[in-house]
Amino acid sequence: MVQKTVKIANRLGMHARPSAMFVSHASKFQSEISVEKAGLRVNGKSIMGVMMLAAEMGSELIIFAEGEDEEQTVEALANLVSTGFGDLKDL
Amino acid sequence: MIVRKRGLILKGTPASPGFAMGEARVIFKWEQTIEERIIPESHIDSELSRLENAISATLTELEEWRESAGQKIGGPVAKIFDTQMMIAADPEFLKKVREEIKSSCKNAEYVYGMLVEGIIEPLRQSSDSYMRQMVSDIEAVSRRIISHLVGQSETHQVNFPPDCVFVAQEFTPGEVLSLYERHAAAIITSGGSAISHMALIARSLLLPTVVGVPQSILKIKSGDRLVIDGDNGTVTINPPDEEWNELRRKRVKLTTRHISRLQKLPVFPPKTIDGIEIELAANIDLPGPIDEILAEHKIGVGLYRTEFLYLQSGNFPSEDKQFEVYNSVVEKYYPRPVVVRTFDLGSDKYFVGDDSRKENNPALGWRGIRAALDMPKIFKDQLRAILRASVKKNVKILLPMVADTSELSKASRLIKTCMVELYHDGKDFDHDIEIGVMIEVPSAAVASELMARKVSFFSIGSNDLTQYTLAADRDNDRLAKIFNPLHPAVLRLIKISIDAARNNGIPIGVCGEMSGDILAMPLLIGMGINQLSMNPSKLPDACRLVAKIKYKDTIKLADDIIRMTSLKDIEGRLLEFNMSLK
Repeated sequence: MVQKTVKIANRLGMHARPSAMFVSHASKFQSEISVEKAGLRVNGKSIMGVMMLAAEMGSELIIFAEGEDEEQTVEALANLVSTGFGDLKDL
Repeated sequence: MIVRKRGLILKGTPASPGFAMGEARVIFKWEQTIEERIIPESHIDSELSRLENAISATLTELEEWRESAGQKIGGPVAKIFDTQMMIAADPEFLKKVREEIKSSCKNAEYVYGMLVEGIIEPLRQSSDSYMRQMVSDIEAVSRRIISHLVGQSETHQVNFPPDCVFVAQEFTPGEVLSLYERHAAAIITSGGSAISHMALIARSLLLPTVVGVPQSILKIKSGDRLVIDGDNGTVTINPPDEEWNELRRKRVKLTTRHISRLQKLPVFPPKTIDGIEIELAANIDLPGPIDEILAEHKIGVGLYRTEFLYLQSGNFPSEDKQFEVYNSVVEKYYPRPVVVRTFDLGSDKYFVGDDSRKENNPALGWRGIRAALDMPKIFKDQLRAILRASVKKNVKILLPMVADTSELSKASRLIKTCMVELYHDGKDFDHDIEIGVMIEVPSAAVASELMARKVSFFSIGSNDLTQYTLAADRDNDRLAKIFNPLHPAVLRLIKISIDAARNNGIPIGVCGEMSGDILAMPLLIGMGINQLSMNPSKLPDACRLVAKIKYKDTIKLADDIIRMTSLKDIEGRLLEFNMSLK
């Protein structure tokens, strides 16, 4: 099990589209993924779960991964969040 | 547009511009109650397969909407439906629903509705509007799934006559698309916000929409006659007969949808009776079906707002991404020019939910060019993207909120730097790209002579120029009588700017709401404005107007008006001029 804490960097927070982007990235990995915010922990491959976190800019997320590719998984997802979802691909 | 204030008027938030009139159809969606039933164990399997069927039916619908949106509006907006499809197919959530159906022995719609509520409820409480927007996305999906389960037909399946105005608490993006396909005249919601996905779709389809109209579903009854002004966010209920008929007679063309009106656009560019060609252009923001129609008519873009790139994602897209968006627009309009305005956002947009950076007065705060110059990396990404899209030489750069020539010099230097960098990167661009400034801060108008020497064109932002000159917030209802671009002081600033432009041999346009106002247009033309850029929905009327006036008369009109001392006289004279046209 690997975990990493990241801060939400994009100004509008993890609203619908960043959530969708997070989940579609997460779904590419083999590992079991979960995300925690303020004690609430959800499945990282579930868009409803991720949306439920209502993670606003500046809030802290802990990303957990367990599985063969856990290192890469956490790295990639943490990077996605901390760079403010890079290029939001949908625009 | 003047809508006389009789009948009951409701005020909401403008979400998609345009004027419409039609009969109301009020849709009460939230009356749908979900029955709670016990399912015998022997029927659990069939209950689970009912759920699967409802989900796959919903996915098929969403897929169709996505395709239809893709064709009508274009890729980026269609992505809204991708997110909704992910919500509908969320494996983890559906697993929970199945387990709960099995363990509680309750019917699928009840369990699904209950579990969705558990997710939505905390989001509803969020103080952040973007977080609350997710509630609409989830509800859009869950309502479809539940109505498939209860076998109820939804809004988009019921038959309505054309040109109805639809009123509900909220509509989903898919519903807006369906209503549009079935010739809705306009949309009104009591909830919702102008940043919602539904509003985004409505704007892309040019469907006049007013959101956040308090009590609209209580005060409006199906069958009421409604007049909707999507520019100002007003809804007039049952205006007196004579007014309704007059509007109908005058505006009969407005009740048919804007796109078809645009397709039937008269000769372009329009000429005055005495043969003077008047340059009209479009204000656009989102890429949409309108682009093809405008391009086909050889209409250029006088104001391409880029803020939506940021507002949609809450991020500044990378240079490459921006280049893609700008380039596709620029290519569509080629060879007509596209004036790209750099980001014009303020602290109220940048720091949503971040109180520490909140300003008391964002309109007078850190916004437009001020913010851009403070964020050179972001500004350069945008400038480089615009420059790269300028290869075919039909792009111009417009700088917003310039109040001082030093800002102009700084921005120009930054543009030069970007050019040098691009040159070294081996990327092509228009070396002679024209750079212009918005004249919207009174200081820029007063000192326009100083600005004119340094730029290739002026564009008057009449909305901001009016609000800054008269110190009247244009969104403040109580100041509605004060905020008026025809005020003698505003007209004088416009005149100063026109004279400065003329003295320095550069063109000057107007791109605020004023330029699409039928009453103000002859005045602007007479004063010497070279280009009127307006919301595309105003273009057909503008073309017709131009064909009815004599250029020579507008000069006389402008001459008269600039001497007038009161707003009342000015409006009266413009009305008189308008009435004299045949």
